[in-house]
Amino acid sequence: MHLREPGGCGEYAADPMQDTTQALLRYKDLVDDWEALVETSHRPLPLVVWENPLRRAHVERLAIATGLDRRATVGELLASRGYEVEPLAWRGGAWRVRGLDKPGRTIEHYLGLMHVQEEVSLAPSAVLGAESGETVLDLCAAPGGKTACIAVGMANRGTVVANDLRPQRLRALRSNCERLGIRNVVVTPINGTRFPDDAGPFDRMLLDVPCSCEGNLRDSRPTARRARRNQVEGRGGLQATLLGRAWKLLRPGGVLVYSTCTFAPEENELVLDHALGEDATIEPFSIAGLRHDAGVSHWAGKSLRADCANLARYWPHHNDTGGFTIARVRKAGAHG
Amino acid sequence: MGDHYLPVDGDPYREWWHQQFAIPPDTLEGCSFWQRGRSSIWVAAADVDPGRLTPVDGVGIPCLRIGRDVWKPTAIAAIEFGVEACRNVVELDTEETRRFLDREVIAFAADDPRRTLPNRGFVIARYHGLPMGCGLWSGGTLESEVPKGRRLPEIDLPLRR
Repeated sequence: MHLREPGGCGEYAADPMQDTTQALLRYKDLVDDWEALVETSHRPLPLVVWENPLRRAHVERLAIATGLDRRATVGELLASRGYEVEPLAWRGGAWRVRGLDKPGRTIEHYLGLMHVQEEVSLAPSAVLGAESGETVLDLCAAPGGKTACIAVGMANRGTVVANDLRPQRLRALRSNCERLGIRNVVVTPINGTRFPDDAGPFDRMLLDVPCSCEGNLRDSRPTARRARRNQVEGRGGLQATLLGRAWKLLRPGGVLVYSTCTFAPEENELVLDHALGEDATIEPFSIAGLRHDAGVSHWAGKSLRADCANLARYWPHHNDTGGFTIARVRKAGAHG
Repeated sequence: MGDHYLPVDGDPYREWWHQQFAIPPDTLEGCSFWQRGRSSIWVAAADVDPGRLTPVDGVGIPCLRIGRDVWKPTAIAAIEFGVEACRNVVELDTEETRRFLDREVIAFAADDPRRTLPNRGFVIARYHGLPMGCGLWSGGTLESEVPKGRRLPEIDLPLRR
């Protein structure tokens, strides 16, 4: 299957500004305010950090040494040093921080008291809603920010299998989990398209598939731009194969969250339409304080399954974040 | 055996952390312990389950190296458990902490009260009570055991002294 034609939004000009505008042109009819989308996409992303609740004792000790109340948060610690800190509208224990150019050099980062993560990429773990003691698979996990969110949300109980094929990115995942003191993660370096049947069934799954990364247009790091250029051919076939494999490993009644940091329906709705069968329901959801648009039910002359409208499309200009698309899919069968 | 993690009895390791650093045994009570290869012990959640997955590239966090006569705590475990340590701890000032994170050997003056530590062994280095990693204490010098990948001499240390 080849869901996405080469060329189109995948071809980039030498000028990064022109790159961005061209990349977004094909979504002009999908979005409420295309000019605002382009304008936002030319601005750098706000820096966002979340506090690691597993390191509460360390935060408390640093707060006392700093002369703050022992209940002070990481946000208050950063604010006490002059950084401009603003709580996220939709999630506790996370802040936008201005003026912190090198967060990796802070004592909070070194000790794993906080993690730096793009705001909208905190959403998939919130949508997944994994509970303490469950068994969760994160099939394309590296570099591990979403894995960490899931594992920490489970209060270091149960099992999160964090899998990724790419060794260098797995090292980053391990390093992040170790720094954050996460003890309920099992790391595996398996090709996701061949993940073994007998590893399941899992209660929940995150499938944050490799994609063309259009949602990262605001990320100015060279790695982000390189990633985009390397994926101009689209990944629809691989994404559908990964979804098909993951689906077999999910228990009846279980929840799978499919996410990409791209806008292309070819990598989102079309993949779900192609790979999901009668035993799947794409469920509606919303996160209070984080605006999204509905998914598309028609694209390029093709009608898609009706529940594709339940996908959530996070456009950068709606929440001043990167771009993201998330679907929550439930497998038919017994709940609980 | 490299990619196999085998569950092991955690009592010897809980006891070691208690003996070495006076860390209360209940701190490590709700943990499982796993051995990789001959000498690497990992600590994980009590109910973590790798099932039949293979290969595995990590279960929880690395905790101890037991290959030699003297067991060595990992830097990450020193940070994880070191807040509660009451024995074999050396408190560092800001400049010493920076040098520690640069993987230097720090020599203490003959009249430094911290020289009361035992002659030789692994200690937890702390900055204002915050564990920064482990080091090898030897007759008045502290050899940083911060892994190369975690070296961070340019760290922003916000506290005075």
